[in-house]
Amino acid sequence: MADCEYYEELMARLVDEPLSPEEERDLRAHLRTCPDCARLFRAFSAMTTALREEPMAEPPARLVRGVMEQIAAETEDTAPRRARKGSVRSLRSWIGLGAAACLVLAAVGSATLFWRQSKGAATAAAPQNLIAGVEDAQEDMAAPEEEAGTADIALARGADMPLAAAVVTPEPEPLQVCDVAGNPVGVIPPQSIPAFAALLEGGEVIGGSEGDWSVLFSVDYEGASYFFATGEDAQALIWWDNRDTPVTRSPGALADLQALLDLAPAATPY
Amino acid sequence: MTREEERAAIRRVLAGQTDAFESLVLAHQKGVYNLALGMLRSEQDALDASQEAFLRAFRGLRSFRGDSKFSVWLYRLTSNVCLDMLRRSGRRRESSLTGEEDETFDLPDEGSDPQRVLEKKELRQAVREGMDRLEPAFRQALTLRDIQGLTYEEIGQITGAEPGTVKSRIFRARRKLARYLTETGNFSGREPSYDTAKRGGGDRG
Repeated sequence: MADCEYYEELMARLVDEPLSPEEERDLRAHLRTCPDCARLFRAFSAMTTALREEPMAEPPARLVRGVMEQIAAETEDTAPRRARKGSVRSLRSWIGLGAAACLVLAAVGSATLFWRQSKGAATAAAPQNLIAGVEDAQEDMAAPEEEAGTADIALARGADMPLAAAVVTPEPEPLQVCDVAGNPVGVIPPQSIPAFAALLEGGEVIGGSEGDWSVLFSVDYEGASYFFATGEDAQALIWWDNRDTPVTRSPGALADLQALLDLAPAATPY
Repeated sequence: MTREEERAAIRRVLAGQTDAFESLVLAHQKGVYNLALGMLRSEQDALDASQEAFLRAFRGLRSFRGDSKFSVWLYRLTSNVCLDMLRRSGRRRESSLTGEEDETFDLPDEGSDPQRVLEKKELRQAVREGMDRLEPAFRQALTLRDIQGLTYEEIGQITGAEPGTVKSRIFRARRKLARYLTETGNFSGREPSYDTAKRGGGDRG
């Protein structure tokens, strides 16, 4: 019967969502007069109860074991291609190293920052404590999503060392910095994002990295996660992202990156 | 495992600490295995499919963007593995969940009424047999909805279908299953009740 078809549909719906008062009243009335549908309705009730109570089966222990053994085998195969092994350095100990490096830089006076207004529209105040005096300021290191009417960014380079960039275009969101355990430990503030982008553009692609290195932290940027690591001597910085790109190395980028981070005071080392 | 812990584990794996993947497997193996079991109806096949799904997850972890739940992403991989296996086998699988395997599905405590225990057991058996007779797409949708407690939207993300399609597939699956039960008559003859027919927020985590 066409009517029964309609009531059957109501029964299927009733399991997930309430019917309207009219639908419910009609269904109740129909069940009193139609034995077939009443029987079907009992089946719906019983079936729903049985499915909800169906205990989840326990997976066999060899499921986990098999997966992890296979992963171990595959990781061995691909380790030389990508940086896969290494220790995890305490973020705090690295911050200590970075801070020391900064002090040295300040002492020798080679740290130079430069900012320049371009396109004549920016009204942002010049960041304080910036020192002009750059020989080969590079243009076009601007923010990735530059808006018309905002100022450009120029990365300053000292005589021998790139350091940091200044900012003009405030990006709405800072970049999240996490330690290797995934805990947020700070940000790269919006004004430092162009310099961060410039840093990623630099360096030498080395494809993979073997030997002792320590993962420091990760930074989410433009839909990817970038992982940064350094060697035991905390001199060189290597990084890679989660898109199968090769490892990049830069001997001088460590201090640059340190300068960009705005870490929470209570950043917990991993 | 909280979402934060999950995110932390994913980051550790991506940073090269592959051992951290074990915590993800441990946290999700039950859901993955039961989805595979629901689709393939064989414990050995479900084990194989679960392992393959986790390996695909490991290899493709970089492509997980975090815009859906990790479990939903995993279930999608699992679902694809199961569909591949079903296609390869080229046949509808007959139930192998009989005999001694049945023991693993029994609830530990049904009360002391032997008649009630028997009824419940028969009912479950009938529902399983009915599930076995459903098309894989219907069985999958019903498993995800009624056994795993996922939303239409999540099921849509897993199966690649629109929520409307998911909904109609689930309704059709229920109707087929209910008809099967009335044909076999293998269910409790208690009075119909809106309370037992309604879902009533009984989602399972």
